[in-house]
Amino acid sequence: MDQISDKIEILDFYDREAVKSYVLQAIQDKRPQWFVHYDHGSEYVLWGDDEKPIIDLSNLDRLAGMHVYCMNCSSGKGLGAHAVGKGVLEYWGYVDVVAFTTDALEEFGDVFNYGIVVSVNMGLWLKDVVEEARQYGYDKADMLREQGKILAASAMVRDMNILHVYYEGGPPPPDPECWFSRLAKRLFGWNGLWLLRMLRQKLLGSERARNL
Amino acid sequence: MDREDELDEEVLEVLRQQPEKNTDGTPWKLKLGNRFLTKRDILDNWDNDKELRRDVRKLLLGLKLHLLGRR
Repeated sequence: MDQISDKIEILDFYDREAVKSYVLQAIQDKRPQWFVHYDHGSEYVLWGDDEKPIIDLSNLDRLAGMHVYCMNCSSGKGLGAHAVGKGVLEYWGYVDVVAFTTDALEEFGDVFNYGIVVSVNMGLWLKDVVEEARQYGYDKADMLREQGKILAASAMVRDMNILHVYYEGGPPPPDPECWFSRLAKRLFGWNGLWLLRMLRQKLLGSERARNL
Repeated sequence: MDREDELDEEVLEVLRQQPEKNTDGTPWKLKLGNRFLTKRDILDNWDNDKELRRDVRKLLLGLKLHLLGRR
């Protein structure tokens, strides 16, 4: 965060509880342009320190008008696909579980932060930075492989392969894998699918354990 | 030996060569979703954990495809 703190004011929840009530209150009070989540994620949830959802399908619209940058597992797949429909300007996320190894923490840190650091410092949208960021990650992977850190390189490549940015005016999200969701999307559109998924979430709750 | 077995052998070879500790002395670990695995965790569970095998195989396969694309 040091790399961007002279460009934007940061309200950091690192040293206090990042829980739904505080975060939503801060969004309401500060009306930030950016929303950044570095914690556990799953397809339809950004999780808080209390292991409860901060953002899910039911309140995704609270991020409307913002650039959203997620360094978490899988939220790019579910929340990302619905984000632009809920008014989010752009959503940077990973569409599957993220991998890293402890022998290259610095390199992973660099790569995971690259998008927001460049975007904020250059005044660019995330969509305009994502391919450069991906390339940066691939270059790091090549470097790690040359150092003999094969699993680190493999994890880095995987992360870059599953990085995705959804944005206003961009291509629509890929069709869901599940046939029922595909059918629902065809019949009712993305908003209808969002409604069905949200109802499922309300009825069944959200599963945290599978994708963190 | 079919392709899957060949890839398994290759993955296992990479795993065997992976040092158990990082240069600072801490244990080497792979974080993959909600799992945080040491080298021993992976090797010990290799035969019985189908999901683990599939995930680690996919990692290596991804690197191989990436390298093909870089040529």
